[in-house]
Amino acid sequence: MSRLTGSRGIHSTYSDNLLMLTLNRGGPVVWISEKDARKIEVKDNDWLELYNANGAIVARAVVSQRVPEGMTMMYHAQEKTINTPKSPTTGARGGIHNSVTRAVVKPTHMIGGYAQLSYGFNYYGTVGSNRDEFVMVRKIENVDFGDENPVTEAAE
Amino acid sequence: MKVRAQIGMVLNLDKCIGCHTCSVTCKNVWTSRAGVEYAWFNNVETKPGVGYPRNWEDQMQWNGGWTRKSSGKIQPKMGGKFRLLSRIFANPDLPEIDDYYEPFTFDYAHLQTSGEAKDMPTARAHSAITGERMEKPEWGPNWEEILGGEFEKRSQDYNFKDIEKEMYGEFENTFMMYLPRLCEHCLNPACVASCPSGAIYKREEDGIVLIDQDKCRGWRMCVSGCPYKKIYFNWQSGKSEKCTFCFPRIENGEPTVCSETCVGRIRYLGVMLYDADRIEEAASVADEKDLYEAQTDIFLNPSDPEVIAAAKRDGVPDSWLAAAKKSPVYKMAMEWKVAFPLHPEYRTLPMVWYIPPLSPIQSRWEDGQLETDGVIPDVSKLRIPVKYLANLLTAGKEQPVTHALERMLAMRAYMRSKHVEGAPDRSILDHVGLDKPMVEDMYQIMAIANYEDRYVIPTNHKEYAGKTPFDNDIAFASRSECGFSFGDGCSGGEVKKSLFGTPTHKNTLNGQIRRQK
Amino acid sequence: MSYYINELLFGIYPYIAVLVMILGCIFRYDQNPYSWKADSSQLLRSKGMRWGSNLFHIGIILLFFGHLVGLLTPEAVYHLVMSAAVKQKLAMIAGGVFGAMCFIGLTMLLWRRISDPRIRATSKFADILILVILYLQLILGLATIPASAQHPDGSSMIALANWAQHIVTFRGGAAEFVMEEAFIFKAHIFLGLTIFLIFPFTRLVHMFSAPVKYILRPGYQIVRKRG
Repeated sequence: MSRLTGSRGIHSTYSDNLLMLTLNRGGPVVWISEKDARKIEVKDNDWLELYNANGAIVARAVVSQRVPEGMTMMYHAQEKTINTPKSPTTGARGGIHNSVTRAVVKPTHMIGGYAQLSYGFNYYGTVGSNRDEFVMVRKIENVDFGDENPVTEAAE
Repeated sequence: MKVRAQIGMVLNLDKCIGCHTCSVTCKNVWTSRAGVEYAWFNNVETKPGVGYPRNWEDQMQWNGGWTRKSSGKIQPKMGGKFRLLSRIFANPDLPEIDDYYEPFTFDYAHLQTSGEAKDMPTARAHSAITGERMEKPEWGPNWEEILGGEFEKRSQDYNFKDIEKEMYGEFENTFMMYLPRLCEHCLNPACVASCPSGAIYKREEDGIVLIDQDKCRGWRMCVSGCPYKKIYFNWQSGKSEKCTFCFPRIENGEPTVCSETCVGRIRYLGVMLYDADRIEEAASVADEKDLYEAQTDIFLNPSDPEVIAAAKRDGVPDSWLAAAKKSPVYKMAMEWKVAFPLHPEYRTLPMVWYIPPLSPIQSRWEDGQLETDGVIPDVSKLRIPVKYLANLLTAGKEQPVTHALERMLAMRAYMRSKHVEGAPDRSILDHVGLDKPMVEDMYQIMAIANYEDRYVIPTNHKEYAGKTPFDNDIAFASRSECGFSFGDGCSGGEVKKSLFGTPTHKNTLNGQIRRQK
Repeated sequence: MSYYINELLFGIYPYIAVLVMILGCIFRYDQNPYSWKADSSQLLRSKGMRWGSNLFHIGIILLFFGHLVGLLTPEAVYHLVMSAAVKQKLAMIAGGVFGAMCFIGLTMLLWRRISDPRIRATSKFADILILVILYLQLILGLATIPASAQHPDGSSMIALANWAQHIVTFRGGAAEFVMEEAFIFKAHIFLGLTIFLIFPFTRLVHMFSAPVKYILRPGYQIVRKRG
């Protein structure tokens, strides 16, 4: 589902920096194939929701021939702090790549108690494949950023 | 013969990884100001794609560059001088900012100042022009990165001319390459020709094309005149701006910022000598496909005693002649014939050249049936169609591109035979007309690419400079003065009140949004 | 209108306005050349520019030269060709046609500047001000046509021309020529002089840079010689 790095950042670095966002698409995106996009009537840059039993992601579609049919991918660590609307499924602000994936424990990998071999619930695990998941993809018709009704007055 | 020197650039596309370091460092140095947020003097495009601004290559749409009249003379494609002036009130060939993209920024401050809310705050996108919220950016300077976007839209790419393109939209036949672009600092610049104010000029000493910001009146004809769309109209200052080839660095013998910071070591800078008397002749040849050769014909051999004598007569300093002999650009363009101009059919005689990229041999590789013609793989089986590269670099003429790709493949094959098999295979070289010292030199410069091999830039000479705001008679006199400014003393162009027009916008590239009043 | 105010507005104010314009322009050109520009906004929105800008510019240039020739040609000179009455009729027709062109163009441009969010956001105070003043001036100018029609003999026109010619030749008593003229003419003159006054502080300066030299440039290229 997701890839560990972007094309010019390591891990989560720079993904919310203005220049990097400008040189990308200015916010979270997921890549889907042209064939799948046609099936669900999605055009390049439409808002998508990706969801499964674990949670949901909201991001825009990059429709591309370089993705094979049936696959979708998302670059690592595009945070929902940048221009992300609410998810119709969860009712909360759209999630990130971690929202639909689940880290699972593989005890044999955790022998020794080393820090890098530890486990955080749904956050950090020891199995490399933990970020491949099945997701459902659908188009969001009514985009709601949910930022019009703060509980208290904004400080700005 | 009138000998002039120019610092030319070559970009080895075979090594470009599309990291945009060149774009970012360039932007931080030159266009991190209000009004040019949308301007990238250097940008990197993913090809095939329509690019930035949209469809810039198609001069049927933009009327950039030159056209050859039936009389054999060339004139700007926009029209002659009268026609051009008749369009000064509303230029029909001017791109709109949406053809580039509407510059945007994010309300980062909201993340810190938001009150308590049901959902975590998110930094919304805002237009840098109006300051209004945008639901999402609709286009950007790198929108098609790594083939993003439907093939149907990307395949509007002008370089698909004369190619059956449908098959390349399939996953299995996908190909791509990166194309970093900057001002070409042409020998026959169409921007200079179409500037009604005479504010754009080419420097005789090093060929850099610049816009005098004090003389520019913002008639915006250069924007449409330039076929590469590398002149940007600053909507805040009302003047046109362009890549400066980092001339203060070049004068100092240093590479441009984009070259200096290139992590792939793909950029090369070196002196080219050319015959200025033959520019018009070279730009006017009848067949577009001959333009590449016509341009190579006016480059002069820096080792030819006649050329050296003429160059000295025409005031080219000795240090420049010495540098010309070591020029990597001359070697690539003229001796090895592996570098080509970008779209020579625009007749501008561009001086930023490109080495075409190799790509995987697709045909029957998996079956172990790699097709070779005995020595090196068949170039026509490369994943990127040769015709596509030819449309990009030689006005569609495939033979020179094929020749270059073969030489690059041969270099690899030869070095593999030398280093891996321990038995250098000379027959590979004979096949493509190379010899041992030549291929070793190619390997040294193209593959190893040491800093001093990539950048052979003589410093500018005091006696070489003209009287301009930047060249003081006595450099010493300007030692503690301000560097760049915009004609108003030491002001760096920052916002200040003025009777003659206070700027409406502050810089938004620091991540501020434009607040509505 | 009292004699004193008439003298101030039409005898002295013209010199103040023109002096401010000349000194202001020299100062701006010399001290702030970076601000000297046409300030086109076509990049941000080209819609409506083709008609709006062309009609406005062509209309106003023709109006300007019409005024220049009409006001400053001495009576004796044009009498060789036509009578004052004919000249007035010519001025009314030409002014009406060019004025209408300019009016359509200016209406489009003013609407664009105020209603388009991008153009509005990038408009300086002076950009909107000068368009509004030009618009009012144009309406006043068009409104003088019916006023002129009441004096088909050309007497008003002769009075105004005398005023203009006395002003530019530094002769005294210029203001007395327009003392008895209709209010609409006076308002038009006053606003016109005000345009001269604010000229250097607006984008109007670009008209001094009209690139006629381009036509005379030998060839197309400019190569800056080394020193």
